Amino acid sequence: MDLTVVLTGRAPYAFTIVLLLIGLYGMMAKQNLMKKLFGMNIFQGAIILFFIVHAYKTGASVPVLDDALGTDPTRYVNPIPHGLMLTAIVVSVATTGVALALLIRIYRSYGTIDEVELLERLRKDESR
Amino acid sequence: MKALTLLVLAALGLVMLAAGAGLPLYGDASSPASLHVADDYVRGSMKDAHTPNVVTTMIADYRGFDTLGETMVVFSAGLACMLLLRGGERRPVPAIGRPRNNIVTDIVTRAMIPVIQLFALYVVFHGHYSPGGGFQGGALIATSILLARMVLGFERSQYLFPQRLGTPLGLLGIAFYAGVGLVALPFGGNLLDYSYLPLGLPPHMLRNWGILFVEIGVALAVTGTLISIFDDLTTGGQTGER
Repeated sequence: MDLTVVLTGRAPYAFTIVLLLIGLYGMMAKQNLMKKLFGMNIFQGAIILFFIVHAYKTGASVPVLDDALGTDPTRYVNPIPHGLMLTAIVVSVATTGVALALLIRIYRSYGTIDEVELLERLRKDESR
Repeated sequence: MKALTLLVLAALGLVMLAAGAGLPLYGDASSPASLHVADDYVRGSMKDAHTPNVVTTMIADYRGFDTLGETMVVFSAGLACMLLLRGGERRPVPAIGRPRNNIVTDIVTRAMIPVIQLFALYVVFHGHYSPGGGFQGGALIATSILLARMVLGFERSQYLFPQRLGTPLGLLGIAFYAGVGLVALPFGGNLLDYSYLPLGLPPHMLRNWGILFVEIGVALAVTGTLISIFDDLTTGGQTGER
């Protein structure tokens, strides 16, 4: 395995991969739905950082045009991932709101947001 | 079960690391993502729309249709919260700690709110020339109201922004955004093509103004939606008549 290739010159990608796995672990292993939601938010953070890492150029400035730098694209970091992630962050806030609303509804209907207890209650409801 | 999860995730991590070897080097100026349109945006931003901030030009002008859709996603998330929580049977929700009236936090909050809102307006209207724009400014305005909701409590912060106005404000923002885009249609342009707005200015200045209108629309939509989501979540969808 040529892991050295990844870790020299591509270290930020490895960091986003670790963050992504932490988020996935939260979504898979935790039983509390709220903790699963936290995991999903960490996952989203990893994706956002992954895009931002792509935008970086060594020695480049922020993508606000400066007379001293002219319009040479290599002097500014890539604006596209920044714009995309800017909207993605706001959309992720709104979708987190929807997820929390769903959790409130689940808690109102079943009195719990623990996955195991929830499945038990669903089974009880079906057998009735 | 936990051990199995860890094993699967470790394997997935190795696969992703191996695939990572094919990604462009960190900081590579000629990576595929930075070729093609990104260069055109940087070169054209000043010429086309007279806006130094390329991110703003990209969001509000070059990809304005995308942003319109994304603003609608945010707004429909607010609507989804409303439909999920306000409908159905009314059951008392567990009280979310009502703040005690504390004179220190009250005064500090009241002093901070106008400062936050002033900065938010700066972020919205200075988005052409510095990092900023509708999304960030809208989130900041919403933050100032949410601060009041959290510190002063739900009832005592109604005078700042009544709960019933959240969703209409979001709708107004989207209508403003789409409306400015529609104005370009009868004057011969495509939807959201601001160089056809009837303001009597050269095309690149018209697009500059178009970007400002878009930012205002987005800011209104984001403000209204975020406040309405927060109100729905904290009150459990109970409307004013408590």
